[in-house]
Amino acid sequence: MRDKIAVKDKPIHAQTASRRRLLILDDDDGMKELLTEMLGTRYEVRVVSHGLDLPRLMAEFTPHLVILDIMMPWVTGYDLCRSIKSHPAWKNTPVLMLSAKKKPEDIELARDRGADAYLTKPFAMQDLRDKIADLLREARGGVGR
Amino acid sequence: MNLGDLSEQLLRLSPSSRPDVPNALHKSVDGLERILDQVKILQVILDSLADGIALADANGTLLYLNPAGEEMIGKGLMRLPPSEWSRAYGCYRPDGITPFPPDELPLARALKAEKVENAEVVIRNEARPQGVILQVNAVPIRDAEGKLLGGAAVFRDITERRRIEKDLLSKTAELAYARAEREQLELFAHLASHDLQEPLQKIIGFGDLLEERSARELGPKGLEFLNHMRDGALRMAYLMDALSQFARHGLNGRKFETVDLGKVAREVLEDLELRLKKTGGHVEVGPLPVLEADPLQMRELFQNLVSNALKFHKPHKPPFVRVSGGTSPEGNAVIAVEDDGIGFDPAYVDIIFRPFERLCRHDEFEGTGIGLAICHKIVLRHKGTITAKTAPGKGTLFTVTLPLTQEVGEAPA
Repeated sequence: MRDKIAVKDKPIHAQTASRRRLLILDDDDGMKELLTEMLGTRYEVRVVSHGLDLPRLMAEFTPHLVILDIMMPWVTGYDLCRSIKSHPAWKNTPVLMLSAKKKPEDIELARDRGADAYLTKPFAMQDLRDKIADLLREARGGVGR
Repeated sequence: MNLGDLSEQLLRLSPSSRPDVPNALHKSVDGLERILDQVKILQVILDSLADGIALADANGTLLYLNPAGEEMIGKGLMRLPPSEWSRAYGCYRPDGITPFPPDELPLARALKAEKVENAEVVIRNEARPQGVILQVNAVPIRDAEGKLLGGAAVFRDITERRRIEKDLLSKTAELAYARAEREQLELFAHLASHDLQEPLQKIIGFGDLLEERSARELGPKGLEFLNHMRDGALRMAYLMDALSQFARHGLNGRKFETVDLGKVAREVLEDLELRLKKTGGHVEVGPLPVLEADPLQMRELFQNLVSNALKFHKPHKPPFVRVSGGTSPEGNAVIAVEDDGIGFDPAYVDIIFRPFERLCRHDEFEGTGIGLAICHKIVLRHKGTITAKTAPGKGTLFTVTLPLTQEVGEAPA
């Protein structure tokens, strides 16, 4: 029997000190659960619904990678991405954007805001995991912890 | 009405017929002849006018109706007082139903010394059962001292004009409606396809998790069902993308500019290089014209036509595609894309340009059935044509004609 997995704003497992940390911002409950289930067995995952607390989260949780949905209340994924990428302490943290938007201009905008990768919905679990593994591998040796 | 009649009637309007000048008419034979000459000229003029003319004396008796007037109204002169005109001639308000109040008829108002401009009277009677719309001006006629002698009404048949105006209005409204409807539809398609990706993500994503964690419980049959579900969802996502792409096409067209189709074709071939390598296919590009067009859409047109030509190749035979062009005697650019592929039944030639129409099962050939529909949309926007000539097993020839120049100004969306 698997452990029950927390969805909201909580670390997934107690013994996660050595695992890499992913911060996920998505306002859709189903997506939050899906991403937590897909990634929680490999990474320490924290999922939040909006980016208003981003500076605090970045400082406290110190993620190795941030996953951003684009369409979110208050602050869009684009803007959050720019704040991360323009902050001296976080600019080397890889950002993966997930969105159903797939027009070339949407993807271009994400790149322009500094996103390291862009995955369009619907994606397969394996593609998401591969993408994250690639980004973490690339980031290692940089400012990785 | 003959000359004698009119002379008599007009003389009744003239000062010479008035009781206060009983002898004026008889002052000289010369004078009478001169008056009669003038009356003759007047009659010729009135009889030949295209506008209708009606005259009434101060008592309200109709004196004269010219031939054009009779033709419009469908009835001749009836010597009736104003109170009878409306009923006798069948005069109605512009709504065509309300009888025109006799004392408000333009000529009746003129007899009350009013000047009436551009009044509208509908005439409907046995001779004109469909009704005629008249635009009427009426003026009082006065003598030198300003005393009212009678009135004149000048009218013209504006039925046809009104019909054209009405048609134009309804066509304009129709057009505006169709445009609004199209824009709404495009926006809807775009939003729907975007918002539907989320639920599909859940079907696919949780399906992936189910396979990972519960493969043993599901068993081979269960896993097969799960795969069908995920495949269905993936295909739906794919179709939604195509729908969105097709819908967006109407929304962001760019301005027309000079485009070298040869250059466009070469760029498209570079994009298709990988696919050509994979299939061992070959594309031969002949000289192509330069024309005024939306450059991105031209690229898309070639991309779709060439990809399509490469896709439907015969099994175990690498595709060969020939792209050629020229100028027709009518001065249009003609582009031909010919393949040696599987072809299809020519009965379906028109269907293939409709969105989401596919002549084959989607497990035989990839695709959404949107490529040729987009080609069609692009060609229509450029006021051109696209046709296909084919037979099963004989390959397909797509021919596109496009005007070499486009109208100056904003390109239609």
